[in-house]
Amino acid sequence: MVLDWHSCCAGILLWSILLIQHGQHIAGSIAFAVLVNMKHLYACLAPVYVVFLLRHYCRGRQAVRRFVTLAGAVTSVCALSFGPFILTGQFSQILQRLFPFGRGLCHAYWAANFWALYSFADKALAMLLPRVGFSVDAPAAYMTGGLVQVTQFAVLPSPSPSATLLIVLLAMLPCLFSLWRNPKPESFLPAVVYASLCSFMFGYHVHEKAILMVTIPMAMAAAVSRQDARQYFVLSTAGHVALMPLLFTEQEYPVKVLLVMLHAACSYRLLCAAVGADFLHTVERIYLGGFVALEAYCAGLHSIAFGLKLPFLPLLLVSVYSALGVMQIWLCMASHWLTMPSANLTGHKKSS
Amino acid sequence: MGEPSGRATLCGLTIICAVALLVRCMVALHPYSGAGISPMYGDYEAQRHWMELSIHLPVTEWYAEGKSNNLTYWGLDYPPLSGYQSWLFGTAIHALDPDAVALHTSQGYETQHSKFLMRLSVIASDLLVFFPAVLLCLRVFGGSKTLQERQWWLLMVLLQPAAVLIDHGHFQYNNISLGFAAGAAGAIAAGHDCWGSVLFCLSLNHKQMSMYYAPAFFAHLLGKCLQRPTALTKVGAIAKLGLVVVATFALCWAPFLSSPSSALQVLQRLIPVKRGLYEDYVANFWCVSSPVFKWRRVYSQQALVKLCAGASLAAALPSMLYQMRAPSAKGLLLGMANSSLAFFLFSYQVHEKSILLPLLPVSLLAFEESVVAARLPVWATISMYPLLKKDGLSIAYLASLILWFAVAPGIVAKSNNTHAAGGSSNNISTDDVGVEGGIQSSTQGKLLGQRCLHYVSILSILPATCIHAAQFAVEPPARYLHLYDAAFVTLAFVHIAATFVYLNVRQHEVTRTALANLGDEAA
Repeated sequence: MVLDWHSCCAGILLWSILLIQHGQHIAGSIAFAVLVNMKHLYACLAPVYVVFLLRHYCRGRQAVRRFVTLAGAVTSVCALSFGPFILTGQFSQILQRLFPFGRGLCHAYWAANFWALYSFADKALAMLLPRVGFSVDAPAAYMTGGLVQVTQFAVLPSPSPSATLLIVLLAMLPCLFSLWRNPKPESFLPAVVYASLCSFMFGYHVHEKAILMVTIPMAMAAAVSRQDARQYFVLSTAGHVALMPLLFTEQEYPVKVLLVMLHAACSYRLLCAAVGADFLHTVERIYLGGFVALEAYCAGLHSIAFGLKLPFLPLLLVSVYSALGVMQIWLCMASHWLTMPSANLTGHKKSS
Repeated sequence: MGEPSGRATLCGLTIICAVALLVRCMVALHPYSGAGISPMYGDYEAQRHWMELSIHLPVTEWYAEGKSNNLTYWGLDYPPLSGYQSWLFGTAIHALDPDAVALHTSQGYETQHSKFLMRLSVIASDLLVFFPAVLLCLRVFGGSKTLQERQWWLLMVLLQPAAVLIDHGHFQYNNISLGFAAGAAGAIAAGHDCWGSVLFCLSLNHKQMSMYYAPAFFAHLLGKCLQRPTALTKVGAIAKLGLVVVATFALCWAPFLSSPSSALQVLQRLIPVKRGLYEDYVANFWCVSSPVFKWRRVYSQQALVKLCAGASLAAALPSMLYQMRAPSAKGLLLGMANSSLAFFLFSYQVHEKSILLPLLPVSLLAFEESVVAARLPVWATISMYPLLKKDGLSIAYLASLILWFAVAPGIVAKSNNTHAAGGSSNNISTDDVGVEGGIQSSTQGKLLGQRCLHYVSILSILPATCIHAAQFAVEPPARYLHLYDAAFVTLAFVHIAATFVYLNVRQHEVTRTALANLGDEAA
């Protein structure tokens, strides 16, 4: 079984969001600072926090004083956390451990994000192009060997860590821009969800567990509208199925299958009760139904068809299929944020 | 408010069954009894050994001392149906992992794969026997309840921590005999006395522990037969049931009936006369009172056996008499609870696992006796903590109890609501409709009794938590090494005894109501 402190961090994230939504900005910021100092993964949400707090909280006559209080609170939390290590001269060591860019774009097992689709496309091209006459230099089982290392792509350009960071920020721009123009408290949670989804989609060396960073806050507002319910249900189901290969022992199999199925069944019933039945489009129903076939293949059909050969194929299929669903949800959300400013140009009020 | 559609009901009940299945799969990840403890190991090894014996030896040699069957190393000591069940699962495991059940060479065989297969067999027996029986009981006892109440009931019966921890953690197959017993209760309550008798005989032939229920079934069925109009129909009914019982026993014992010696051999293995008054620490009268009165020193073994038999029968007698005078569906469940509690408290050589027997009817009574159904499993589980700790199941124990505390108040709240709303409409359809005055006083008495039980258990949560905490912090003094075990069982005994008294009072009231109703009909 995988052991980690995710529940603790997810809890702190939820607290932070709740506090900010209810107007307790300083407390919410401190909670967020604690969160980032516990898992730096959450630093990807910092742009949203910064933009929202600057525009919503630090305004009017109190602006400068509020900014100073906020900055002071956050800095003191970071000082408490890093202080001892800075004083003993170990700060650069920490930075190296926190950002291990030697681990490669994809984890040994691919997260269900854009880079999974990208790697799949690269592998497909590497297999197809030689047949039409191009020569491709690709070592055997690159990226699917189960090793954690930096690999060069065979056909498509290999993105560097800074390139991925740039892409994440670009992806977040529509949301940040919309939040800058219209910093409503109701937009805060959707913005946090979108920002974490962007970093999941395009980040460097993303672990598939990181989908939980998206689904847990998303669940808070899933029952608000049919659109939200649909997005949550597709994303959470795809994300959870993508997590299943993490638990690979025989005795964990019934547990993981039952957990994922029960969560899907219960959330479907609850969402139907909240927003009305049939909130899924037909395409989405077919997509979700495909997971059953996928699991049947991974659990039994693959070993019947291939025996012990191509061990990575079931994992690749799970990643890519889940990534399709996650990608579709991201595109939905991105287009929503892109079209939002035009809808809300005249709704903005100055808060004191 | 309209009744929800059949589809919604089915969906809800399926989800609850799936949750119960998930909890069982999760408990199954934990260690089992005797894991890695050679040379004797524990109950898991016993079950594996019986599978090994049953698939390799002919039936007549299962209970006999022989060169392949050393009775001192986990000899088979359950009735024949257990043997057939071992054979069935042994055949399946032999097909998937032959080394696990190979004759002679598989003693102490422990691998992840064989553990998975053995755990699967317990889950399979749950799905094949226990779940269907419980769903039958839901249909019979919960016909007139709302969907919410039925869902809470099902959740409570299926998630009962003691049963889940013992069957899927410690490793036993109590779910089969308990499932047959529950099915028997449901069938008899629905009026199918013959099928009920068959099912109870199957339960008895799987584990002789079900004998604890026998007085209740006997009294109830006799009472029903005696209610027939004429002497001829009375005798006819009794004869029919007798025939059914004898036929079921004959079928189960068929391979052993070829000679009296083979049948005797089996019986000798089933009745543990050579063992002591109690083993380890169990929350019954003899063990809890032993610091005060040393029973084992004062009386000889023969005298103790007679004393226990007498005390148990005396304790079970009131509920038997009530049932014989005025049998009813609710009375049957109360009778089962009372007779199994009487035997648990006063019988000879009682295991702490025997508390599962009273827990079954108490859970099935969750609609009417919601406070007892919510509280007794907690104390039963706490009484088994020393055993669970030895098996390495402490975390599963804690998690099951926390889950139970999350689920149990649901049914207490539901039934309190319906009581407040003017109880008579929701009384169980299978019970006789009572006279107004009878209902009134019985409901008041019941509420008072429930309130007492409620406060007693709330007040004892603090000592229970303190004992748990102290166990980690403070070492017991050398003279009283088992101080904590004794403390757990004493605390549990107080609640079990209080529950026994309360349920007897309830049975008295139910009988009075039923008699008053019969008097009305006759008049």
